[in-house]
Amino acid sequence: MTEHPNELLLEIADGAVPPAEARAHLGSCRRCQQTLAALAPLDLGYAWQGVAAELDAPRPGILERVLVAFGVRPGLARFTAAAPSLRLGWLLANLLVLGLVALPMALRPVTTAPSAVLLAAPLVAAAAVAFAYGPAVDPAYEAVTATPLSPVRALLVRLAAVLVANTLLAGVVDLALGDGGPRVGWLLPMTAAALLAVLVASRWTPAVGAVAGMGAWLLVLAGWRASDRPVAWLTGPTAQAAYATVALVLLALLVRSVARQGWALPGGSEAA
Amino acid sequence: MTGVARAEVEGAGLAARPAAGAATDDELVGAVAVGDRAALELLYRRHAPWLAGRLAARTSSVELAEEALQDTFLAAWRSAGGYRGGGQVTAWLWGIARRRLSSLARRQRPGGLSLDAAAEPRDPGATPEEAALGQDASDRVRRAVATLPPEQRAVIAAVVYEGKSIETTAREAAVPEGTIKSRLHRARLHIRKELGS
Repeated sequence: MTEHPNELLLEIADGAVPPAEARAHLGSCRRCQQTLAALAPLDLGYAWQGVAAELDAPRPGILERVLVAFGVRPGLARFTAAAPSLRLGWLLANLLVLGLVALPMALRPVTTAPSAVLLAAPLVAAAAVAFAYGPAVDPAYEAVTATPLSPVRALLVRLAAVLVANTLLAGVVDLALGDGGPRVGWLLPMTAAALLAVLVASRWTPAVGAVAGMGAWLLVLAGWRASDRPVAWLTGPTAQAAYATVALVLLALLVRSVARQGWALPGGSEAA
Repeated sequence: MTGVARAEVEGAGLAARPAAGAATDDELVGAVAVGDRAALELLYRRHAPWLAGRLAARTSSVELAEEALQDTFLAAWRSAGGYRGGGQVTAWLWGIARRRLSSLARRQRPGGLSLDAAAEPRDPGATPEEAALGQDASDRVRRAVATLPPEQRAVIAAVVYEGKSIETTAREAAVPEGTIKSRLHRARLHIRKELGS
């Protein structure tokens, strides 16, 4: 240990550059560091904590950076990208569900049978509501409730991103099925199921909403099983028109519900 | 500074690696360039004190100076790969710090460059190396300290020359820590004036 550069410390604290050997001493001498900390015109420990905190901050993921590149505000982008149902594992699971349902069809195409993607897509979309947002699934939920973003709006923002992701996945499976595929006939039932899930979630919790959306679609499927005209039930023009009508009605109800009760989510109190 | 904050600065890591303490500044920046965080910490311990003094002299806002100091080391962390070497670490760091302070001051006061940040009221030389301290400075400081009132001289002696903490000094003098801090502050103003004249 070299000698303490006592005389220099006062001038260093005023901004004079110490010689190289004194600098090396300062790097390893606690006593001099302590003296300089006492003399410094600002809090050196606090400033270093700021540097360390910045270095520890997580780097934004790909999705977050893409959203920011498309003009989404950084905070909203981080919030959206943090949706549990947008994680790679969840998306892969979605793809697996869609693929497994689609596989038998791809192997043995039957033109009269309903499209496999059609069967699975609304279920996946409704389930995504449960894992898009809420105290039960979101590690960042408590932090989010302290922000100006209201719970229902948060749910919608997340859900929009989740729906886009699932639409892309279902589209990929649809394309992979080729001629036997449903030709995006799943889009309207999927939207209707998701909207129903959101509407219910806005009154109760995301999990209840997801159950409602999935349950409604399972009822439709039960009707299809009992019907003697399965194709008409699902992909026929009448059926598609019915899905569109249901989706529009649900959207209107959701808008009205939001206009009435504001952006609060009744189930939010269970976060406590 | 709180005890916790100081523990952060002096924290583990480099203290356990005696070889790192002997590294030159150039070697440290080289290590920072490949992501060695301990090297950044050591660089901070060596350079943050004088950078803090310079930054604080150029703005009346402690917060602004603190932010500029943080930004300087974050920028150093990110751009260490661009450092050309040649023993110019102090000039390199001060260049970053001055630019950061200017841009922070501009952002805070829209409509004009901060005069404090733009002007160089107390810059002793064009590059920091030219202002490096030596034996000459020690004598001047010692003479300035000798002209202090006894109470302030005692605090300088305890804190600077004996390396005692503010807490210890306060306890031994049987006065509150705030009193020691204010004596220290007044002593520094006095010394700065003496050295400037």
